[in-house]
Amino acid sequence: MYYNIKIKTKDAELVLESSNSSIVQREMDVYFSCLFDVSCDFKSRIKKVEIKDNNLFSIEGINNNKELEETPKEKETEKEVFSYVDKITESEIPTIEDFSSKINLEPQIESPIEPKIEPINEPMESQFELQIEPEVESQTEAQINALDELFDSRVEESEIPFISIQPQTQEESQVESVITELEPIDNSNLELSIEQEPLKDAKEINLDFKLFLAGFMISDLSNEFLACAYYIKNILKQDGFSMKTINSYLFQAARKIADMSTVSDLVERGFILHDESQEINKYAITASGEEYFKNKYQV
Amino acid sequence: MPQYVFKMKKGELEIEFTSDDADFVEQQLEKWREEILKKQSY
Repeated sequence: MYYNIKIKTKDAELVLESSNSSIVQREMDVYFSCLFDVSCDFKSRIKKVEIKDNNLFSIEGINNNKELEETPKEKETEKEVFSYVDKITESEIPTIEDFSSKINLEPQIESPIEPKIEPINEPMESQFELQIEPEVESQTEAQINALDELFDSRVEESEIPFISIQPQTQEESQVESVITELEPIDNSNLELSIEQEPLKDAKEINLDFKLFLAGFMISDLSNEFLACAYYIKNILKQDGFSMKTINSYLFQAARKIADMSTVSDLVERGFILHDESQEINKYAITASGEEYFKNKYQV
Repeated sequence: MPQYVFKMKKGELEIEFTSDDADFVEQQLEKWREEILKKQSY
């Protein structure tokens, strides 16, 4: 059996080891009484401890003014009276720090994941600007804008772009069937009859130009452009027009649009006037253009 | 064999008893406990 007694005071330390339980019992009784009896001369008792037999001996004796090294496990408050620890080795004495590590912390509540609502990709707006003349039919806005984009690209190719689109509305198909059944219109009376008629809406105007153009049996875009310019000045009584305007008529009537090459050619020939001082209606048919058109198509 | 450590502390005085004799340790604890109770009763 192994018995070890360690006594510590402010300025002294004593360690006793023995394998004899009776001797240790006697020593423990003495020290215990000193602990509770202030009259007991504790230090003097400790000084008297000697090797009494082979099993009890003073290891360190009295060390005056010795600084006692307090290990973390030996730090106890004065309130502690008993400390009974069942351990295997001294190094395994559990400490407060050991217990604190076993304390389960409250689980951190993660912030709820907010569903990310991705904005729905709105349909892309038309790449084309929407500038519609008042007289243009509303149903053709998208078509006109598409044509306008082609116009803005300033195609310099000699070939005239031709767009053929199937009639989208029943009304348009009916109009086309009506046109095919019509006999060639007497162009000499057309201008007069139209002048007498009151102002019409855009739909009717487009239809009129369609009829107007159909009466001339024109197949090339340049002359169709000139016919439309003539129509705008003499029928609609407008001094000038923009490319968007004239293309709207051309598209409705002939499913064609005119690019800058067509216009430039007519300008060079003196049939179309290009007035850059005007912001919108930059173009207009000239007197030469009117004369040419009249002579060619017997207007 | 496990060791049993018994420590008593009063003010600056500290007594630590270590043994592998479980019965002996139990006896000492009992004795000291009775002594403490006597002191408190006085």
